[in-house]
Amino acid sequence: MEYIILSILFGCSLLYVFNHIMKTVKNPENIKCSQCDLLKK
Amino acid sequence: MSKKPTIALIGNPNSGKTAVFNQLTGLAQKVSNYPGVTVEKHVGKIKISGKDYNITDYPGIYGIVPNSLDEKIVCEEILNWCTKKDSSPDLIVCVLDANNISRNLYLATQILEIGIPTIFALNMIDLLQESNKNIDVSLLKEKLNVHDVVTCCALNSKGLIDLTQSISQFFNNPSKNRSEISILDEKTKLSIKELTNLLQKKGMSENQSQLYAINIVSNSNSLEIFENSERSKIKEIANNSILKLEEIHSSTKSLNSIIRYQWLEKLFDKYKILINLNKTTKKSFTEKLDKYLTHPILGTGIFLSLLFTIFWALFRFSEYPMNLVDSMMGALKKTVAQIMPDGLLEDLMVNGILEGIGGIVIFIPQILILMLSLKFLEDSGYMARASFLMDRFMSKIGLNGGSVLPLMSGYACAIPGIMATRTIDDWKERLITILILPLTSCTARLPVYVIMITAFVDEPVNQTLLFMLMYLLGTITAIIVAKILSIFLKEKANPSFIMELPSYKKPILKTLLIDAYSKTKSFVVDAGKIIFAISIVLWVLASFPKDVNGNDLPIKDSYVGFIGQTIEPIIEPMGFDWKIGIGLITSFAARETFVSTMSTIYGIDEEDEKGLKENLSEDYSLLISISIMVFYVYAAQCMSTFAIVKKETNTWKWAIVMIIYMTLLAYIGSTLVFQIGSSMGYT
Repeated sequence: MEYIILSILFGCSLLYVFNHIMKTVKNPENIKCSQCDLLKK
Repeated sequence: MSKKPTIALIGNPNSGKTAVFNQLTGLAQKVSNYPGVTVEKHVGKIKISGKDYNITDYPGIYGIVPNSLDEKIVCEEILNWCTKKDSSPDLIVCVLDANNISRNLYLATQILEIGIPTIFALNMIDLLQESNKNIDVSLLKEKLNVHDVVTCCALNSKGLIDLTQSISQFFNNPSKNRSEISILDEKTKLSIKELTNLLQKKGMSENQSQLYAINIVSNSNSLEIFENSERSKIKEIANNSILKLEEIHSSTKSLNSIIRYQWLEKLFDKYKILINLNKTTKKSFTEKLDKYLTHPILGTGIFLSLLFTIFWALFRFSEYPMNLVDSMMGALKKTVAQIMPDGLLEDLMVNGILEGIGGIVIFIPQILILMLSLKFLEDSGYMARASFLMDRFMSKIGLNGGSVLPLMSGYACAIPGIMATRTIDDWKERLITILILPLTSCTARLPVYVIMITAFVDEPVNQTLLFMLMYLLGTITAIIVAKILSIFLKEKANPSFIMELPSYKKPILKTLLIDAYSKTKSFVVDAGKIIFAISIVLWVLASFPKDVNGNDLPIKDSYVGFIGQTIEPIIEPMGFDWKIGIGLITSFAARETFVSTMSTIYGIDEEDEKGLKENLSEDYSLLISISIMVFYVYAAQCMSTFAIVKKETNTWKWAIVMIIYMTLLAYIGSTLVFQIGSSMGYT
């Protein structure tokens, strides 16, 4: 059971990191600290 | 469904448009006390007396002729309002800095000539009144035929109710007065008649065509906002008009400015719109302070001292809260370990996720102090003085003070800094600024510097000096690279810089705290998400494979160990081992993950309760720590920076140039530090 949960977590995390990289390349101004300049209250 | 009424916020740079926009919409666009903070238009919604309105905040302009890319966006839009009537807003709120009323009216009178109903918001009126001056609002309204003039101080919300009431009254009043004035004399109008006729054929009214015609004959930049196909025809007719104008005016260069300022001067002399209650001409507080703060030697000394004080405070005052956060994270890990049953998931939670997150959360106090200090300097007006001081250095390297403010933004994050280069009118200068900007140390590097310094240096003063050295190393290298690029880049350069020094203002504590909180939250939450994901991936790769009995192998024999040892020969000349190598790889997702990666690796590797600092000081030396920091000063690791460079330059070419030169700098710099240091016996 532990291995199944671990596999799911590992897969999801890998996907998240990949997605983060793709989003960063497409819309760099929408990420991280740059958002400080465009925050909603 | 009827269209929502639209309002446009127009004004000079640093007149407070975005502060008015934020107060009206409840949004939190960045505001500060220097020109050029807003480089894109932002749209928001406001509700007044139950009615919805769309409001657009535009970047600041000095006139309807653009001097830079951000101004071009606004000037093209204003031209559109004149030629395509259905695109024009229902109302313009023109925000004017009451302390520079004459210069602000230079733009405002041009807006009035467009003929769209306009309300003047005289911002920062409190500062004007403090200097014993005032503006006769009713006279200004009457003589300029403005729909309404309201006074306000947007930063502390004073006068904003009057402004919303005025907007509401305008939309409730069916008989809308068009705010239209004309400042040209009959002879001048006659000289530009041919040009105005041509412009009227494009859909402009008589007044609008006269406004654009006088701008075209005064400044060749005016043509830039017209379609390529129209330019040659307009230029040809404009040349005819220039010949006629030269018979009545000595020169047509800057004719619009000369006529407009003369007109305003007469108006102010005749009607006493600006009331001066001062009996004697005393130097203002800003003038007195500027004598010292903008002095070439004294000013530079004060600037460096301020930098030192901020960095010292960073180490001195964050020690206690950092220890507190550290012990809280320790307690959380213990609790989780007690609650969860022993096994892989418990190990992942404690030594993977919590160790990784803890590695970054501990830096909250430092980020807060740095953000508060930077915002204080910005809002007080000091940052503009720092740009002024830097201008003399900048001109020697082919740049000017216009590049300093984007570079200063780079100390928080390179992305808004690169976007802020739109205020630089010269392409070569803009490109150089973009290419050197990532060398300024952003907040993502802060955790790396802090952990490396505190692991090997004890005294706060020495810690501060080393920290400051890293910031200066990035800045000085940026200056050298700029000089080299200015020699090799073939693009035409036309460096010129006129900077408005805003008056000093007392920063509002609430604004400072909100800004510092937002930035710190954004730093922790956004970096936290990716750190969370990377910690899981890293933990799995560091905990597997197991031996034949299902027991843990040494981390060196794990997948992570294998990857690290594969790249080790490449990074060895810099003094780095495979553990640091893994940190470098994960840093490509976000620089600050270096610290959490090291935390996770040591969390899995070490069974004892030692902290990351202790582990690092046992495994490495001060020389390796400096080599790592030098690598982080130079390394091209931020993907969002490459992407924004591509976006702003419309080609991957410059992003690739940046990656290559920064990677080479990082590798050579770190290798030199380690090899020279080792040969001197420092290892």
